[in-house]
Amino acid sequence: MAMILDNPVTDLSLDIAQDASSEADMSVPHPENRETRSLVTAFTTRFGTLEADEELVLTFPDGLIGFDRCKRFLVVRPDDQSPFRWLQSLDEPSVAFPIVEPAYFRNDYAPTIADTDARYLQLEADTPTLLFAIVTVPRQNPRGMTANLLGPLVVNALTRQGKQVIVQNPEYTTKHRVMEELSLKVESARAA
Amino acid sequence: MLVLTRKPDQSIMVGNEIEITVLEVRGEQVRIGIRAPRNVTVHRKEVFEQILIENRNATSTESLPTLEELIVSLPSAKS
Repeated sequence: MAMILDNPVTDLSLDIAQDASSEADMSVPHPENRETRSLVTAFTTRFGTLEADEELVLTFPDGLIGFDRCKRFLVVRPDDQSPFRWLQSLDEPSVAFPIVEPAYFRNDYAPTIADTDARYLQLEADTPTLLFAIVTVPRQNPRGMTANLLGPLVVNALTRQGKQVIVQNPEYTTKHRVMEELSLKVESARAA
Repeated sequence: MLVLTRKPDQSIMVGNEIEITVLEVRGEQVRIGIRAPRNVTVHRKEVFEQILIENRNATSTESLPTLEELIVSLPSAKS
């Protein structure tokens, strides 16, 4: 038994775009809110001190592969126009992974994950999930960026617990060229 | 590292629940069967390492592509 992930949803991002509306997210909450909202504060190398609602924290109990000490993360969205975000570690201030939802650059990504992983994440067929691919952006050539569809991040949106799973589909690799696959997606949308 | 010599159809137990069986030896290739509890994940090491390396590469990304960089490279913008 295995589970196919084809119903990803939901948004649990911390917006830090520099406009008036999101500044409220970064500031200390009003005194009357302090008791009802639980906040986490973390220093990060890339973004300075981040403060966010505890509800936005994603927990990866095993860490990410090769980063087992990084268990708690925030999805940080520096620009609400961009599909790319950062998965910022709250345990290691300097560790942040660029991420994108695979649906941004292809419509047909429906990875099969092991039953073990589905049970670990307490996923039922209708559980809302977040699905992210980690992106690598070469320093000199941002358009040559690649996305890892072999080891995506799957998060149960109800428990906010996640895992970097190794998918069972042989067609997915660690280096999908994002811009090329996005071009194909756009072209096929126009042809339709 | 513990080193054991096994013949086809012989097994190794790791703890009480994980059984690793040599199924077949053909030239340079060895077929191995693994029986493990459902909460134990088993992967080829090279797949695991590929992802580990890719994770490391990703963390050295300095900045995300800007929207301009994304738009220029779409076919719709070329025509």
